[in-house]
Amino acid sequence: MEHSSSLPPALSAATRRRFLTVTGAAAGLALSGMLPGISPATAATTSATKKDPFTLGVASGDPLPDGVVLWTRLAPDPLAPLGGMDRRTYSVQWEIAADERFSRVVKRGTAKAEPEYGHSVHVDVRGLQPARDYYYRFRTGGFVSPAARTKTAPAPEQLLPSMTFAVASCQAIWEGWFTAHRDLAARHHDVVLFLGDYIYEFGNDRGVRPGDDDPLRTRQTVTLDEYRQRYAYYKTDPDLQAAHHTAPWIAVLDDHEVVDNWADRYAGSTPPDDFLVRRANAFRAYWENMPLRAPQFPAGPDMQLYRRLRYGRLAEFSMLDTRQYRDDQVNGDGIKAPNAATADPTRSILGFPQERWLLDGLTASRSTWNVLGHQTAITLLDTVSGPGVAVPMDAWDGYSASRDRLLGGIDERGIQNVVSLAGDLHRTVVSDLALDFTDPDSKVVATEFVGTSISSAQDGEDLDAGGRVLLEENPHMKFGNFQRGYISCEITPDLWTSEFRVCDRVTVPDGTVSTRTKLAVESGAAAVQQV
Amino acid sequence: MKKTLTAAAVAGVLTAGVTLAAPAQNAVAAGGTSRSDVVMWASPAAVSANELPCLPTSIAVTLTNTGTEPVFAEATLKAEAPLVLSDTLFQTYLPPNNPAHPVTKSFGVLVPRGTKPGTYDITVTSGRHREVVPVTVQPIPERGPGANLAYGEQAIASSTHGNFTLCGAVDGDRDQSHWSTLTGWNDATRDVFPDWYGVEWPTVQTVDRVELWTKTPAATSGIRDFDIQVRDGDTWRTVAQVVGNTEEHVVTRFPAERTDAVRVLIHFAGGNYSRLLELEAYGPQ
Repeated sequence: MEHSSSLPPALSAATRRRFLTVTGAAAGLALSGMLPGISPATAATTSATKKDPFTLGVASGDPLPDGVVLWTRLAPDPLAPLGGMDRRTYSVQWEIAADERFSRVVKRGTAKAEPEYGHSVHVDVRGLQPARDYYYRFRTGGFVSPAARTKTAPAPEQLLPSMTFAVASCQAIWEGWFTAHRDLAARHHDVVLFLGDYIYEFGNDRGVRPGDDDPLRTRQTVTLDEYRQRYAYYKTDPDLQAAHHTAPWIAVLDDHEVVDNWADRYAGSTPPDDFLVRRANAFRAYWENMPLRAPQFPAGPDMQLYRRLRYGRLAEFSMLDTRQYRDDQVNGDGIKAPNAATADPTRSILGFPQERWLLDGLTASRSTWNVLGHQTAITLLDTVSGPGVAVPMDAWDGYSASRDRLLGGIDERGIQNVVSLAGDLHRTVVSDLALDFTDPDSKVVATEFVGTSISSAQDGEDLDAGGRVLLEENPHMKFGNFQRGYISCEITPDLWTSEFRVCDRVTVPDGTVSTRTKLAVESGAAAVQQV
Repeated sequence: MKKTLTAAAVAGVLTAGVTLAAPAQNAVAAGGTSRSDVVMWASPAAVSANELPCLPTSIAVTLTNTGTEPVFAEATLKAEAPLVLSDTLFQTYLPPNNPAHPVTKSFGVLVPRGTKPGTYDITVTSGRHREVVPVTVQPIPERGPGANLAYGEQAIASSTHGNFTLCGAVDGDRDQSHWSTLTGWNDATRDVFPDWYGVEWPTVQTVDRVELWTKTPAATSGIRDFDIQVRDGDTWRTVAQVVGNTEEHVVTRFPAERTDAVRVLIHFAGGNYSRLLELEAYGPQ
């Protein structure tokens, strides 16, 4: 089709050359060691797999005014090696329609599912209308995928009267059922921001789901086949599939898509050269399993994940990567007193190029709401009662010079309506972001909603002891909750409203979800207020 | 990711007691158009194994890139029946050569109960290159008087942390320096007690002594308060108790019991988790 193209698995030769030029030779990496006689670049079979290959559902992502990425991955036996596929390349037909019954198909085409990419399919559909609902599906052999809804972004100068989106993160699958995703799916948001820890690189043999003691679920993922299989396991969850099937996602990763608390080339005591091999494996599997575009395709251990998505004049989403370019955690990681090392101005959580990209982009924004979608809390998080202070070395507290440069830059440049969205903490933390957190009269320049986890940390409770301490010690923090769930947001040109959806239980499959509270921010006034 | 072998090993040098099969050039690249620079080898070149369920035999498959461009490479494994492999696929990124950066994945070889002694082949394939690792299945060695009855038998536990293996404390390895990378059992439930770890046998044994090795420093990282229990039908019966342990090695004696399983029920341990290097069980001599 003229206006659509698949991503690397099915790029035309000319496009592929351009793609390599742009992203570096390593981006073209294919799997070596294929079986003899197979030439996947040319031979796409139209024959059917023996079983339904659409066990992992479908997805869409990174909406543009005229396009969206459509994703699926063929895996008739999702937990088997190669997902139960052989080493042939399969033709997969896709279609996207303006209506749920597919009576008005607006684009269709054929993509290749190649073994080098884990038989994933990424189609970068273009030529769509802005701010429209669309429906898409795939077929191969005699099998048809589930049909799913997606939505394009508004036109660049369009000012939508309102839009909705969900904010989710952290789904340790053995710690709970994905009840929050089921609720999220029912709301048909315009878009879902997923802020990391989509998979965990380890498991637990006493999890809440039957079969959680299977070594394939608990082993540390290190190699590409192991990460691919871990995604396959998570993606078999019907609630997670439902969340993908009802809205496009904009995703970034955090630590557990690779390994706990990694920082650039450092992960525990692993030699950096060894860790970079693991990172390359993890990144490759991440790209294969997410609805991401070609510029996000990793070149070995490097992936351009930070990016900006514009929703017309209403909102702009700056999606950040606080893992790949950060300096290593200081003071041995963990929760420690801030000191000269945490405040060292030569250290950065974003890396200096990304810091500049962020502030320059915010300065140039012509949208009302300037949203940061990223991994962990910018706000100060004093975790000890009384006079002492101890803060997480892995969050922005461990890189307070980055925080000062960001919040100071927002103030100096007069950037309005900056809202930080993050995850990682497994608890809801809502804060006014002030220039100086130790001064209660300090100017508030932005707002932060850290969303709780989908399932990580099991059932939780409304306010645990740790949450009470946070509220007492951090006056800039306005709300806390320690249940599982997500944030459902609605924004208009005048008002941002965050609705906190929480699960009563996630350790049983039939938990219920309710609204814990709603908090709002008025355009032009960064302070959080109760609705 | 353990970088287990150095560049010297590529030449087939004996390294750390592991005999390497001769490495061979893998002749197929993606697309089938050019020679690949990926080298694959399996080690050791031959292994012996028996039916003991917790004495996992493993073979390590290593891929390395001798070329100047990074690649993704893969190897597949196939075991002759009735042997079973823990996994059959290895796919990994390989950075360019210079320095050499071999990447290794270990595969467990399981010998099901009832396997006839003999030789069974495990075939490792990467592209056109193929290696065969013969597995010699031997009868379970007769236990002499005074032998550790738990060695290699089926371990059982309340839970096992993801970084550890269930069999880690009945594998005959009590070396503290092998903790977490090679041996040892760590429960999965931080700050939640009790935990338990034990061993069960296919036939009834006579046991009158259990020896435990816990993580050092034992006073802060070891198991502190625990019961030794024997299985009696569907229930566990306490035959000995220890309170306030601070030692790495704890010997517990009790009147001889006929049972098909023993375990240690841990009521408290230092360092948030229950940690054992080894559990051994003995009968009267």
